[in-house]
Amino acid sequence: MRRYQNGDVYFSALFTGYYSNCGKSGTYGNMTLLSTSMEPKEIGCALKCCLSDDCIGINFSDKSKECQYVLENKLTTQTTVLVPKQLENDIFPDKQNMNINDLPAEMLIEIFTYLRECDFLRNVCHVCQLWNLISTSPILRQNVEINEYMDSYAYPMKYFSTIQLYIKKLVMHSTYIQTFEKHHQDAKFENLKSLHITSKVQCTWWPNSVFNNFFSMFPNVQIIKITPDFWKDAENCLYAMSKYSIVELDFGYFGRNLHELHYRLIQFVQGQRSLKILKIRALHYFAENTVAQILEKCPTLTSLNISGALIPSGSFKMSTNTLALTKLYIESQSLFKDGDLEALLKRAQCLKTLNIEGCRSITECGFLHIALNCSHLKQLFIGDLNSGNVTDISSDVITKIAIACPYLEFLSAIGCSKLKDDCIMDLALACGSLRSINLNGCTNITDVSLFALADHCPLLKRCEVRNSAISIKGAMHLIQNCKGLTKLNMSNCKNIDDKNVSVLENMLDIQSQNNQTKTSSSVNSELDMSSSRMSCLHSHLKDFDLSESMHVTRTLVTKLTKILPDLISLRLSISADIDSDKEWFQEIFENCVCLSEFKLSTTTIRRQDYLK
Amino acid sequence: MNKIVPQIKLETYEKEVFEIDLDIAKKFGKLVPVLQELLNDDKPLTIKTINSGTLKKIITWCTYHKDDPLPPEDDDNKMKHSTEEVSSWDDKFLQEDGQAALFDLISAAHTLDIDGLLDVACKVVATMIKGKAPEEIRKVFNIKNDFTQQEEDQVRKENDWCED
Repeated sequence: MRRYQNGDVYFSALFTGYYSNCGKSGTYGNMTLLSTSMEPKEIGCALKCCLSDDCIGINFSDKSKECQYVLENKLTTQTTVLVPKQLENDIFPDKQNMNINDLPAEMLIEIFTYLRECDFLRNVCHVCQLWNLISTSPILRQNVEINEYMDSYAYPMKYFSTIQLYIKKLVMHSTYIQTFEKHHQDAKFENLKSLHITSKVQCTWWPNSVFNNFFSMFPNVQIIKITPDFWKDAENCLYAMSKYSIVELDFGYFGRNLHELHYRLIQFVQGQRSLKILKIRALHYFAENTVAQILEKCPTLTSLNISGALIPSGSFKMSTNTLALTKLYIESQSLFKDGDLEALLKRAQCLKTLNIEGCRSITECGFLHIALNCSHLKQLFIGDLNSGNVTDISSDVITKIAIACPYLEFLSAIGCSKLKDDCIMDLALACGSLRSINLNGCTNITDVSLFALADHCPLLKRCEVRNSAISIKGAMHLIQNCKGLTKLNMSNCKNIDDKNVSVLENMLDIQSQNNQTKTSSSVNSELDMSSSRMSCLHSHLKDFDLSESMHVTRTLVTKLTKILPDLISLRLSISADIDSDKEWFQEIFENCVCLSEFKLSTTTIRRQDYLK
Repeated sequence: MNKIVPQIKLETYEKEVFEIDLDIAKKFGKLVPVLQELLNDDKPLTIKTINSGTLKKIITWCTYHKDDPLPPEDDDNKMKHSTEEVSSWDDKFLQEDGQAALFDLISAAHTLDIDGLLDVACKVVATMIKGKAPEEIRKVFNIKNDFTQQEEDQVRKENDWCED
């Protein structure tokens, strides 16, 4: 059954036939009585119904053929509604001449979800009564986006006044702020929880009152996301928002003058009682104590992302209050130093996610504070995404972190070229619940690491070892042991060649033996058998990257695809032995029936072209 | 290797019995809970609301898309405005037998709960609606204008602000 998620309540079929689940015959739909004061009230039809605590709904009266809109148990409007044909005759419909309006109403809704707001308003509602009715359905109006058509016409408040209570999430272009603001007394989006404002450009400067009136239309907003730009009235916007209890804020300003903003930001944070997630984006430096004060004033904060904004050194040397932070993202802060990291980590001892990728000023000593303070860590991003930069993290650091953080599930250490196998061995031994590891650009990593991961981390799902010294032997051992492995990146590894093809042959032998036993087993139990057998026998690898590994050969790939029948994505590069070969492509597609993303250098090889 | 492919049996409106490979039948969301029983049962399952032509079409579609990766789970109520992803094969396949067949296919896919087919078919219909004037839409879908003059004026009046 197709379901529309709607708060915590699911809405399912209606108008599809006769139900008697409300105890009365001849009623349809999932019966929901919203009020007892109305007569007659045989049907609660979900077509118009957003079932939730603060319910806006509809009762459909079979006798009067009227829909009664119900809002918090009060009757608001009544309209006549057409009874879809299907309800009138229950017989097998004439399929030869089936009309779009013979479809169940819920299917029409499903089709309409792919239409845009302007289609509803200009065209769909004029077609016929049924379409007019459905096009005003709240189900289609929970998420409203008014970004694209701002040039052709503006949405008057009259329109919003009819649907304002249905909207839960609104995505709008910033130019609408002013349009909305003019009508602030007429409209209240009481049920709106999430507001996204896109491209707040520096068109005009708006005073406090504009923002005040604008936000007053969304009294229950909890999530606000504003695409940052160079707008000058950012502080006015912040000031207006500070009157509401926000749970999640994504806010940014790319202009230079961050000091004005600093004051408003602190004021905003100070008034918040339940702010949990804060993301600040900016291009220039914050005042020295902005971040520290945010943390000070807002003890409820669990996730802080200041990756975009620049913070000067010394930002975190404040009081020693402990913080509730569990997620912290401070990527690419070139001035973020050991002392800052130390001060922060000492206070945020329940940290589970830490991202300090590209913080180039942090040295060995700083990294060791992770080991000293973050014993609950589950996700750690160190290293540097920028391939030009080399990170100095030594093996010793990883060993110490691994021993101190036994719950580690995700480690990304891109470009840490000094790491050697010994630390990955320690990591595998200490962190048995590791699920994802990214060692791209760790050039000294060899098969030894893969063997260690294969032997001690059975839950591993993703492994990336681009540009390392591993060979096919280690990879096969990993594939054999970590049955949950779905992604493996071995691109640009020059040691991958067919010297160890014998390993593959052994695996193939085992697999074919198992297949024989499988065919002899009874067909009826295929369903249970296939799932349990597959989990213990063959690999479930879906995404395999072998591009730029120049010594990969055709034989090797053919054998690999036999071992990896579940592959969906495979990447190769044209090399001495590998080039377009129709029969070979066919063989690969036969070996991997799910393969849909097959790339040879930059060319996509499409299955349709190689079907026999 | 000679594998015996397990099959289930479905009977259509015309009382024609189809044998469907298990891999295909797994795509029929409605059947998933009873697949095991159907496998053991020699008697076909009768689905009266689906005719043979439509079932054939559904099987063809499911066979062609057998190897598609599962779509990512919808985490939040995201907007589905885009109609771009319909592949040319799907577009041709769905439209080649005319509208009536397409709607029949939609209602059958709905009955059997085949998500992928339903999505793509709805997208195709939505594309047929997009950007068309009300009169054009009525013509394309052969819909009778059942508004009275009065009602039509009323709707027009309510929405006159959005005309260019």
